[in-house]
Amino acid sequence: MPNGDTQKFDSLVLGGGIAGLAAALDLADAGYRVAVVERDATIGGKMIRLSKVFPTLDCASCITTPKMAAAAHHPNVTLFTMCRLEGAQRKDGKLRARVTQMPRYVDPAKCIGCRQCEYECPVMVPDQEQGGFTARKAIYIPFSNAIPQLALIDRDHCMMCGKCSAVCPTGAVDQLQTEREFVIEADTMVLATGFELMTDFPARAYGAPGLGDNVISSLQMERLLAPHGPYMRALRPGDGKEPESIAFIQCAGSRDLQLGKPYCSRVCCMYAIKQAMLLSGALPLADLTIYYMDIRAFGKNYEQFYNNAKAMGVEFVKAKPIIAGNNPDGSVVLRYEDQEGGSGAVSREHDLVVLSLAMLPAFAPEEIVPVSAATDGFLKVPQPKLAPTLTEMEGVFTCGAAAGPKDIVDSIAEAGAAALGAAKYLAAQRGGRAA
Amino acid sequence: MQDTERKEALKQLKQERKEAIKANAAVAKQQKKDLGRITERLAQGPATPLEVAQDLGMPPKEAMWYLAAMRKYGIVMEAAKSGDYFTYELVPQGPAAC
Repeated sequence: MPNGDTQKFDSLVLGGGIAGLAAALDLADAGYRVAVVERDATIGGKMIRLSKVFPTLDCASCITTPKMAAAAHHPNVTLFTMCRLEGAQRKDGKLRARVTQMPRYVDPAKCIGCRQCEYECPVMVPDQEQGGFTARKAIYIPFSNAIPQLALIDRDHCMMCGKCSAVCPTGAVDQLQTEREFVIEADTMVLATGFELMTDFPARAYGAPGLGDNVISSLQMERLLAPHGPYMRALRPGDGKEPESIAFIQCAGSRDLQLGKPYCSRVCCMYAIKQAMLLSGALPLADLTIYYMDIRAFGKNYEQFYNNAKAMGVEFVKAKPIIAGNNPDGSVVLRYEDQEGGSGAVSREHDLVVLSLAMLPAFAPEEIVPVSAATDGFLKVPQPKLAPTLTEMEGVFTCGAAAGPKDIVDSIAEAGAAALGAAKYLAAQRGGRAA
Repeated sequence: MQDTERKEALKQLKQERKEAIKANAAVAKQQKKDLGRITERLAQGPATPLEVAQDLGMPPKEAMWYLAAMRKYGIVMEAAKSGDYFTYELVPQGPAAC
């Protein structure tokens, strides 16, 4: 597609995570042509990076991959990866979205995903797809079930040695690729931009200057638990020890006025319980402790899931610990006030500590799309009770964690509602005719 | 773009990225050295990440990172457990991938 080209669709879905894909597939199945614009090199969002999902303990990859494949192969869906939305305005009734596609430095029409380039590349880079616990190369495919299955070059780490070009059987490497701008014209848009985890760990609460090698985030724990994780088993990243004692600190950043994140992230209680249950299966002798402020098990079968965890021996301690230090053996010292036992200030040591970090919005609409963010930074929905997927802009809907922290069940339900809203809008635009 | 134009454009790009290329090449050189030392150590027999770290004078976290990468690219594999740690050993005639 040439630079400056305009492509026409019925709907644009911003975000190729599970909510965006569900909305896109619903619209596509109804006969509408959909463009999915994703900023990553692969679709799948956060869900494809998870190990299992609560409360069913289904394999996340097993239920996300078919959705990804369905979107990739659907005749009414076109995927645009590595794309950034620069701006979207409605003009003459049509939504015009300016999009910039970042260069892969690999020709997508030629790459066959054989990974010979990756094996040949001499530069190793921390693999963020695996929590940084292992390496990828400067030219790489994000992960084995990434869609599209295409290599890309991390220009920041590439030393332009030419080894990838030399080994590529199709001559796909193209170091001269540049950014490409194009326009997507559509009638409706669905904002499914998802969330990010807090990364600026609150030093005030969790230690400065560093947290230590054995304090990890909940998404990093997901990778340790995943079948294709960095170690293919749950080991301590600081030295490879099989941990005997693992702690989860809940509300790490969430529900904290001083950090400007007064809201509950809604999924942390359940995923910590899920991770503890999975760990109890993987490491039957390990002590598992969840330090919590309140347990919020609000969804269908969630309370039962919580009770199952307690029955399996997971210890729940009502406390808000700080990380008091790290021992020479790599264990982490927590210090907290014993709120229920009356023992006052207590210190405990754990081999590995997981922070259930706050969910933050992944998209700031300012100057890009004429919709506003609410006080929590997530997208504002003017009718949260009766029309939770409507935004302030005509014909623009939202779903999933874009409008606030949400679990997968609610994200998928919202995606269906957003797709229906978009389909109704499209039908109305066409004098009541469906696709 | 013609071949000659392409070669010229690549040459110019390399010139523009000279400093970054130099820095990345230095990192790759150190990594190659570290991988060589780990491979030599494991050629003597399986070792835990802690033993690799101690023997080579590198932080345990770094040894673990290298071993995970070497496993990913088919150079080492997990072997018997030793206390709370798994040992790693070289894959016989593994591909020279890293």
